[in-house]
Amino acid sequence: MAYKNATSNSGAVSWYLQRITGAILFFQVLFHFGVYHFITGVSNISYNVAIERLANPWWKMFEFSFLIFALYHGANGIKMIIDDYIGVPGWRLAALTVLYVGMFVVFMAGTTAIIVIHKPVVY
Amino acid sequence: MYKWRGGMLSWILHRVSGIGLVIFIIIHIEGMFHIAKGPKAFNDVIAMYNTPLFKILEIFLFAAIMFHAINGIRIVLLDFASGSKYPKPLVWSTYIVTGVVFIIGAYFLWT
Repeated sequence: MAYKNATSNSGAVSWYLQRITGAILFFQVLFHFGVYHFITGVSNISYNVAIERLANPWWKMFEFSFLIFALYHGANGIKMIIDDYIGVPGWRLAALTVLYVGMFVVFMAGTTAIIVIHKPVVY
Repeated sequence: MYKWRGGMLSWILHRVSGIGLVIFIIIHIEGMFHIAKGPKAFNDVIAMYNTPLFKILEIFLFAAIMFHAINGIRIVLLDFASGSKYPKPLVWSTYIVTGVVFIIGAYFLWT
């Protein structure tokens, strides 16, 4: 089995963290999706609405923590799938590298969108 | 091959919806990144989201989120609470709760 040489840890920590972040995300995703899709509605969202919301530090903190938990949970989930299906250590390392580099780029893009201080538009 | 038994379909659907949600979050962050490019770029993205195609995708997204979230609760109950005593009722109640929440939610998203 190629599994033996691939990794030294049992994955117990990531297994545990997947459930912890999952439990947090349960509430975060219901709040985020509920507010944007049911209460505000996608058709009522605009640049000004978005920056007004992100000007509130609580909203900023919520969206940023949601970003971190969601990307960690997603990357960790894909890692589990890679571990299950890619047995050859070299290919697994290649797949994990693509995953983590890709997720880092997505994280930076998300951080830029949430953290950058935007200016409202005066029409 | 796998033996087909209770929870197997849930396991597959959890992975499939999980992969779908990862693909979604990449697209979503790419879209929201346009806020850094100014009002026109951002509002153009929102205008694209308000087309019928994206309305249908939104309902698929809602289905994936609800199944993954509710089935995720089932997994946590199975692993940490006394859910392991009631594995089968947990599986079918996952589908019932997801189905009810989806039908009600999809109605409000569509109308």
